[in-house]
Amino acid sequence: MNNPDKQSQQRNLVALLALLLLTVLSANIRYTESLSLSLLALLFVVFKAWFVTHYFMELSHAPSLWCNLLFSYIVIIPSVLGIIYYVAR
Amino acid sequence: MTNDSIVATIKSSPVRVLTGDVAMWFLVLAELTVFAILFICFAVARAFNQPLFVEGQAQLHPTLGLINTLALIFSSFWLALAINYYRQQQVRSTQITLVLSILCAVVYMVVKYHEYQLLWQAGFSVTTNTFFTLYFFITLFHYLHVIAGVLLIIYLFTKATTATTHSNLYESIGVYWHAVDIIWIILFPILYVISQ
Repeated sequence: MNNPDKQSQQRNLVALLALLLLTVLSANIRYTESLSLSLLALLFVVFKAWFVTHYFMELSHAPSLWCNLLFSYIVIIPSVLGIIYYVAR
Repeated sequence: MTNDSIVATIKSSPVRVLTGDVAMWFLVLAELTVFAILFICFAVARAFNQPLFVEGQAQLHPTLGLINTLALIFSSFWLALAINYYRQQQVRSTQITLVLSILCAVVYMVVKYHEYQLLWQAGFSVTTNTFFTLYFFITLFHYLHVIAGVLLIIYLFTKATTATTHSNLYESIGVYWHAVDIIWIILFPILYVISQ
């Protein structure tokens, strides 16, 4: 049987690499001319926040109420911001 | 069987448990709600005066923003590892990862302070215009959270001298620190990336 702590460390490392990749991609979006494309950065926020909550905060094995609460936050806030930015363009 | 081994057993089983203290989770939810209101205020204010915000964003330093984002992500990662090591009662590894987490947070604090200095030297302050009022208010409020987080991690470091079992304390502070990271993850694109 695999050591759960070892598995957890490996998952954290994968999450770190994904976070770094998405951050670098987000930073490069700054140089695009299109607002629609730059709103991709807000989509990346959802994925990045999911990696942090799911792996670093260990919500993957938390009660579903807390998972849903945090997941709603990380989806709703970037979505609302995206809608405001898009409507005001 | 120690408390931590019971927790480890529960975590490897299908039973779902919340890491850290429930009170900390409520605090984090309250903090996230306050910041959500600030983010929406920023977006709405931007919608009403887009040229001012675009001009203001052009004065910021995206490279410093990127360095800060990476620093907080690394700090969160090291703290998550420290909590794992603490559960395994590996004192030395816990201490090393906590120091790395603190160092990354200090990098954030130094870089952010440097960015504030550059803006102040260029003549921008809280009273310059709506953009800079919101920029300084939101980022300084976040900065205060980072200072509190660093002090809490230093406190964890002082507790990591012996293989005792305070994993609930570690997890609670971890939850707080990761929430501070999430707030910056949302702030980074709205301040530095989306500039059209």
